[in-house]
Amino acid sequence: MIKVENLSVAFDGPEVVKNVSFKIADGEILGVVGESGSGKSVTALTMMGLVSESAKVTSGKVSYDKNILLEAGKPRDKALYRRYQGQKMSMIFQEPMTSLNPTMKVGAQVEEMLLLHGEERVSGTGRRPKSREERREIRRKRKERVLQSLASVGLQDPERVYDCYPHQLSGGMRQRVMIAMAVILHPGLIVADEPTTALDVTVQSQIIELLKKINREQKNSLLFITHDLNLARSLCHRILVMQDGCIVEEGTTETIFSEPKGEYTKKLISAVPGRTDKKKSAYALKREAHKNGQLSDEELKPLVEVRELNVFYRENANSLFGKSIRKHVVHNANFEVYEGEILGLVGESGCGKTTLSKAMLGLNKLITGEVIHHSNAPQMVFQDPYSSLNPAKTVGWLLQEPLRAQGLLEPSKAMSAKDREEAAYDMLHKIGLKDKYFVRKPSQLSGGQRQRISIGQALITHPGLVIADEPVSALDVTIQAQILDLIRKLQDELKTSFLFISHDINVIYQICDRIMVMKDGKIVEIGETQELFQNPVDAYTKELLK
Amino acid sequence: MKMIKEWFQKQNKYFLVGLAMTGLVLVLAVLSFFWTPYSTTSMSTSERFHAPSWKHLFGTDNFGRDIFSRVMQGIGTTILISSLIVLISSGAGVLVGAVTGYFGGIVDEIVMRITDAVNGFPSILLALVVISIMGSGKQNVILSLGIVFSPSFIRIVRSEFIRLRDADYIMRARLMGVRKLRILFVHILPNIFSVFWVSVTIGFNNAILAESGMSYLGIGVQPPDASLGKMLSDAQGYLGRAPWYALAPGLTIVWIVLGFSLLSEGIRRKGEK
Amino acid sequence: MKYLAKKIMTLIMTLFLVSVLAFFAFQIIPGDAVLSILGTEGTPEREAALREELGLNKPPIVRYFTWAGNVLKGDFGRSYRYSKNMNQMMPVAELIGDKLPVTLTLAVLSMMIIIVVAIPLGVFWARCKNRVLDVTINMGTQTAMAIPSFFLGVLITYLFGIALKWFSPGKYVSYQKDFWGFVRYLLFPAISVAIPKIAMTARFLRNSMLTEMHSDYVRTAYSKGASERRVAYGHALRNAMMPVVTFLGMIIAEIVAGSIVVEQVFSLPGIGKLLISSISTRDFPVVEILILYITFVVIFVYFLVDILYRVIDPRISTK
Repeated sequence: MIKVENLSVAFDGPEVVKNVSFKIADGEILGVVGESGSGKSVTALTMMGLVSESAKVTSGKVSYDKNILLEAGKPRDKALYRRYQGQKMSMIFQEPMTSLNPTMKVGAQVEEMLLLHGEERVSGTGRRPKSREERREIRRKRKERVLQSLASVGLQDPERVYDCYPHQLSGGMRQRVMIAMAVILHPGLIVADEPTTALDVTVQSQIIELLKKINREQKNSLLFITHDLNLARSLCHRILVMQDGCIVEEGTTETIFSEPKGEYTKKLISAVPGRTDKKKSAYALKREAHKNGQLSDEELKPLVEVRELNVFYRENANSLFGKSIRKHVVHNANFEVYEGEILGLVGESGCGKTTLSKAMLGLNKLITGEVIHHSNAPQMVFQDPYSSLNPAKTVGWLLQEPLRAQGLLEPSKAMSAKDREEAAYDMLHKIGLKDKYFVRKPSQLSGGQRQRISIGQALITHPGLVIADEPVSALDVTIQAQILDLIRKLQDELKTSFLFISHDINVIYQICDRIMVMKDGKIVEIGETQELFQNPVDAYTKELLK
Repeated sequence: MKMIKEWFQKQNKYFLVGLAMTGLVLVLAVLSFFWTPYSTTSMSTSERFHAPSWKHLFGTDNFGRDIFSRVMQGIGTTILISSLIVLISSGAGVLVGAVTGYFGGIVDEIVMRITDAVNGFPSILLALVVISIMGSGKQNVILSLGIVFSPSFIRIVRSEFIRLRDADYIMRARLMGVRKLRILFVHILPNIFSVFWVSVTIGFNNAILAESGMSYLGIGVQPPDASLGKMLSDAQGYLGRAPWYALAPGLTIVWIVLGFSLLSEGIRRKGEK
Repeated sequence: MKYLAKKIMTLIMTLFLVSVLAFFAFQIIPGDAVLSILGTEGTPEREAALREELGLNKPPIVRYFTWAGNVLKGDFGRSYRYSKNMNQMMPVAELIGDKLPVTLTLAVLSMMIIIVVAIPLGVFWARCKNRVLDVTINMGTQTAMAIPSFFLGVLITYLFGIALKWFSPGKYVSYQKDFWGFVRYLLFPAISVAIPKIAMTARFLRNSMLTEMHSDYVRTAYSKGASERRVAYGHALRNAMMPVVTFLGMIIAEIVAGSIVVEQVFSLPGIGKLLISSISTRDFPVVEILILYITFVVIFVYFLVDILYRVIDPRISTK
């Protein structure tokens, strides 16, 4: 039904999509899996006629039901595409917040789909409305169709949603609106570009179910683009794997997973953290020894103790007018972090994980209770590799600055310039980068490389505790695996304790010795990894660790 | 030599044109302090109101003075004054903006209210008020416009510092225990450069326009110091008889400001590539 | 509601602050008011009497509060310079009231010209695909912004006044005598004021439009099959106009406060001209009130713009 033949696309330089060919049959769900830079989005956008003007189709063609939509060498036929877009093919994007017009009511945006494709005629006759009643009738019918559509995607109270602006709805609801918009005209093809990536885990599965339902009921084809192989597995009939602009493997879902042929495919599959047995870490062994009575209590003393910690957050702190509101974010936290362990912290967004960690680091002073550190200043690794490094500085400077600062704070640890440089080069090697990176700036590095430097910066002063806030969530799967390995290796070597925050339970399973579950500012359960996964006590924990 | 030619060909048009225009201006400005084709004060009744010719590039005025020489002098004064104004106001902007933006608090609220209130006023009005207190003349023009332009620089620097204050890498710097002053000027400051530079260029242009406006009104630079604005106000009465007298300083101002704007746009486009 | 109250309080506070600053600033200025009023006709007794009458003997703080009290009552004081008839000093209110309509009419005319020209120009430029036209408009607006307003005034005077003779420069027509003649005369100064501001606004709008046209929701609109025209006018323009509203507010404030330079070029008896002459003649009562007026106008306009913004931006109005 949809045929893409030998499609190549280039932007001002080398090709981003290289000779891509595939077919989508009627009613089929085809998954396209690839990491960033694989060309999956560009392929979809080109197919839809939405790619930017600066893109050149250097070869191939795209056809829909034997009609050629796009052909290399010929300019894009915008009028032709406009007939297809919305009616025969529609798209769902990744970020529902920015993909919806912020100043237009959501109902009107869905309704626009009807307006664009001729819903102004009086039904049955096809002529333009003459009287006021006829116009009113048409408007009413249109609105009804929109309300129906909103209801069909699972939105409760469609009347209310119709009159809302995007910012008044939750992320999941916005995405449902986008889906309603995409399916209201029953197009034969729906393209979904990472539709769940920006959503919470629980909402993700709901959206996937919704897409499945639509596919069943309307029998449309779905092109599902994602970087998450598991997600593709749960939804798609067939899967394409893309790397560097080429399709490197193609097959039904079962065959891809049971008999992967390509190297890259195998790498992708293995990089996804699973629940396989993991090697026991040094800490875990120590713990066992303690249980068996081989290790005394003092040898297993905590590195950090958190007692009766309540953390508050003040809004409007700086205003002369208007009172500032004090919000109680973390309630009565009690736990310890032991030397050399990796303690995981899981919870959904908004549960207070980041606030807790800021309080532990001393960045938030609005607390009652205490946080006792039995070692030197704790450090942090942030989630976003792009904002966690000073863009104006070189890698070498970034690695030396912590030492410089430490030297000023504790004169006993001060190092000479030469020693600092040596230590920086040393750490550079430890995090797996060659000497030439010493003079590079962050803008010249990839996400994975930046995260390595982030980690290096945090560890170079040998802190007792490092808090890692979603350190791998923004990275591609294969890079994720590398960074997790790096963390494990360095942790083993330097015996640093980690507080590892993540929403990805598979990652937590792989890397953490113990886990804390947090909900609504309270620590709901703490326990050793295996224990918690096999025998969760709390209902929320059970739900989360499914 | 060939390398220079290649470099020229690579640059975008805005940059080249802007560079040429600004270059000429700067050369004339510097030159004016040492030499002008004719003396700017010698009057000659026989040479009055000569139209532009090879002898007098821009013609002569009602006193028989060579207009081109006077314009040169005006360029020198204008460039010098405007540069100083920008130096003072941007300097104040960085110092005050960095501190209030980063630390916030009551001081910040007060500074913000003041700059908010002052920001809407057309600069000439404010400068007028300040001048009326201090009197006119070259130094006071520099001082008053320097003061008047400071609030906008403060606002810009301040909002940049507020934006960056909570960036991840600054939070990390705090965690590392870096001293506050160092965070302000070593960690944050280099990152506001592009925004800062834009406001410097806009400020420079505004300074030129404001200074000439004030001189036109008679409250700016006073004779014997030359100013293009003052020349224009003198020339207005002779518009019918000797239009070149007014056109010369006016077009010169346009040339300076336009040249500088094109140069900035050229630089910006280079950065975008 | 609470926000409104907060804003009004800020307005009042700022006015107060500015009035105090202005008042005390002028106390520092050298120059004795009494001497400048009486000039050569002064004798020690007359000077003393005048000083007593004007209350210049009292300490500054008392004088400030007397003055402020009077202002609040509506008595704006009397000019030191202008006399109504033989014995009376001109009330400031009358003096200003005479000149205010000129400045305000100029402001309204300019604003109308700016909005009517700049907005379509900005949108057109944003949608323009023709490279030559694009560069032309770019250079044109850059040049327009480089021309000082007084030079523009001179050029317009020359072009329309002397060469084309569409108006007689210097022959100002009072609004009391001939309203439409007045408006026609003000048209040319209004154009002088408007041109550089048109350029700035058009550039600003164009940038805003381009930013919006590259945003995600525009891509969504295209994916629905919308034409470029519909996307530009139906989606992008609305969102692009919002920062432009603030920008225009800044411009309005500047123009209403008084286009000093243009008034001078065209010899218009407006607020700007009055301000300059009052300052140079040290006519403090007039200057004080004018400063107050300008401050009020500026802050009030910003205040209005702020309220407007909160109303038209659904992200704020539906919190």
